[in-house]
Amino acid sequence: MSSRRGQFLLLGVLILAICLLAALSLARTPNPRLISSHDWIYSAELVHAARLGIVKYTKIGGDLGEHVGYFLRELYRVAGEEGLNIPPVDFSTDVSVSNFTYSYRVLFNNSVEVTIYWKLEPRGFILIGKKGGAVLYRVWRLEYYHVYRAPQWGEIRIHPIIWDPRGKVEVIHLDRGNWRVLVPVGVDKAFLEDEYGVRIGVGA
Amino acid sequence: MRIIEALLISIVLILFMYSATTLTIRTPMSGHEITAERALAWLLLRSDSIAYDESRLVLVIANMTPVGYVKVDDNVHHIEASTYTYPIRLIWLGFNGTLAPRRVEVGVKP
Repeated sequence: MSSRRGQFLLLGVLILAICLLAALSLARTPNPRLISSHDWIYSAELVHAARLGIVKYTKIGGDLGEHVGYFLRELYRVAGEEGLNIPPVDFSTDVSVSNFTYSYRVLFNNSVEVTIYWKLEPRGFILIGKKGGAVLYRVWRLEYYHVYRAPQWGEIRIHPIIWDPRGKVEVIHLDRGNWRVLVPVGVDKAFLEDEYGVRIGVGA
Repeated sequence: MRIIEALLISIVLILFMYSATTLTIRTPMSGHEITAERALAWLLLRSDSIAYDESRLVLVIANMTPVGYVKVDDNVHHIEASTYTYPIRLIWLGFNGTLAPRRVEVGVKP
């Protein structure tokens, strides 16, 4: 009999505890009921790793997938040490070069995507006076941008700064993502870099 | 009869544990924590090199969102006193195509 009383008492205590917790949850100051597990950071980390892979590919060539895979493995290794549970992902890469249009694309299977795109248009020649002489330049119009897509933020398009590390080419900023590049005649192909280190070939 | 009692007690116990868990451990992230996370994700998207200029990184983060501290690898930079902070961790893998991992932890203030 006393055992049965104990059981009823236990049930009563538990039910009372549930009621108290429910009342407490109703009485709390409402917080935004948004569920997030650092998804923004995780997607940004994937973009960061993919961009580094593209930079390495444009600098030393080889296989874009291997470079991205290398940075991704390092990301998971460091994330593991730091206790960041970045969900495992698979990815595919695409390099497209056609008719003065270039694009590098890394697509993850969680819909995170990185595309680096540029398009060149020849715009004739220009003669510029320099140091008492004159230099003939071939003029190119360059459209250049990065696109980062993720379910968290949709699409972000950025227009990185571009320069010539060797200082032989004149790079003039026109407006968002549009540049005029003057390559001295005699230089077959000039290589510019953006602020992340992506190498951009300008020339025929 | 005893089986039914045991079953009922188990159900009530599970309900109790679930409600206690949802109220304490699984409390959703607050709005300002999500705001800070978005800002830090944007910083990671926008710059590969900022984590390698520690003072600039700390300055930028401190101006972006209310933070108690910024920890870059093992160096802790105290920004503002706070009794409680939410730690948000980021990893900068490298810059200019090279690998040089840098671990950054930001203590976001409530």
